[in-house]
Amino acid sequence: MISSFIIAWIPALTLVLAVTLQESVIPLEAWSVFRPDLVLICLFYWRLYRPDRCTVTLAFLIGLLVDTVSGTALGLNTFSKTLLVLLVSRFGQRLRSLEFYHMLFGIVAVSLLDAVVQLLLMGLVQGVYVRWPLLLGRPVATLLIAPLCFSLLIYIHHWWLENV
Amino acid sequence: MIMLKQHSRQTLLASLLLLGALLLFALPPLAGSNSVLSNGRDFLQEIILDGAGPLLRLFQTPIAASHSIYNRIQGWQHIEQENHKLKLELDRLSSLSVRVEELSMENQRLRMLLGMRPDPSSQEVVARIIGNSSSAFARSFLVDAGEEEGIATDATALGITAQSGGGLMGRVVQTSQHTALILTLPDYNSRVPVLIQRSRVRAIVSGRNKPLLEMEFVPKGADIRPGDLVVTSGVGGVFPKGIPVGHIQAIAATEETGLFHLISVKPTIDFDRIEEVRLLLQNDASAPDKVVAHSQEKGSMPPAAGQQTARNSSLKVTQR
Repeated sequence: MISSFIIAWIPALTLVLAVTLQESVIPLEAWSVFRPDLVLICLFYWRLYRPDRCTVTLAFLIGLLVDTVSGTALGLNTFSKTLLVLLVSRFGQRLRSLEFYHMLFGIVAVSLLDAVVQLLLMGLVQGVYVRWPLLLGRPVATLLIAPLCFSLLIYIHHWWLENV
Repeated sequence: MIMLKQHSRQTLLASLLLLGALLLFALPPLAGSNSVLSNGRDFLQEIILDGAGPLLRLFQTPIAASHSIYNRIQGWQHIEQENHKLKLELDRLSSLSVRVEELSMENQRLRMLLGMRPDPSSQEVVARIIGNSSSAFARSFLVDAGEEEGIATDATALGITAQSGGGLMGRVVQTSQHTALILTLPDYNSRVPVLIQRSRVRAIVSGRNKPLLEMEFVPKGADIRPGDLVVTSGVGGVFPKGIPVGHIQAIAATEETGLFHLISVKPTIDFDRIEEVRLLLQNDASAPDKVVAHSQEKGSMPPAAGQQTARNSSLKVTQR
């Protein structure tokens, strides 16, 4: 009973884990520019393949967590991540039919869109004062790490969530 | 019919969530700093930070440990050279420390003669960084010390790096029970009143989300040279006076800059290599007493001037 309850929350747990890794472990010296958006990869995957376990509300809450822990203006990631999840669910059927390698470009597109939405919002509030290398390095890093993350998520999906 | 209802409910929820996110984003400029909305927003952040703190610490511990082992192994390779260098430095500093002590006592006597108010002394808490902003729009750090350790909003944060020594890192902007969020100097929202140590010219140093800081409001013709040390001026009462901020890197004065210079300042500390932070506590806070009492209960000496007392592996309190 308890284990099935925990298993049902695995997508949410992987998202929290992604936030933790993204905000505390990855920002080391070697990762000063290429910091992948692990949260975006996880949201993309779960919304595509388990939309029942990755709701818009969950995306909203995860975005809120990212904003708070990263010290960014509250609402920035909350808005962009909620919007992207809505877009992924809108084009979900088409994305699911793509080849794996083509889907990687979908992730890059989503990552770029995330950057553009955040840039527009922040541009309205504080002008365009951005760490450009980080902003532009993110989609590249996300693309590079996406196959590994996808493999892990597929493994978790098949191992734990196949029958849930 | 049921499907249609469910779909419209989902659309409504999505719209509400998007609107909520936009409201959260637009709230600070619209609402005042002491409004109910603003307080509610701070409370929400505090709850999230309290929840996320232990998780971040859990992941950070093995990373920090492996980093420290790597640094130690790297240190062993240059231990002899470093030992020689440190001995020379110690010789130089021991004579300097006597002079500093003499000057400090003379300064105190002169202050008394003039009837000046003594500088407010403060205690320090050493905390470990458990979160580093991965955002392109903000530069902030999350540390593992909060209200329980006596940290309050606006507490001054000093960076500790082995490579560049110490210097101003920023100030605390958000606290929770066991964590605090530090707004660093390069963040766009950071403004620090400073003065140039050599010429005593006052200015404001602001962050631009870039590695270099920008110095504002320095009139053309002011006595400034590249390499000058910039320290906090103490104006505004947030940062104590005399903390190193950085060195002047470049000065530009064109028609576009108007009446003022355009000055770039290189921060004293390397923000990519900070692992620990010293947080200055104000004397009137009650919580530091709790921390000091905590260390006394454990059988350690009460912290004397210049001495550090370990509270636990990652947290230390010291009297300044």
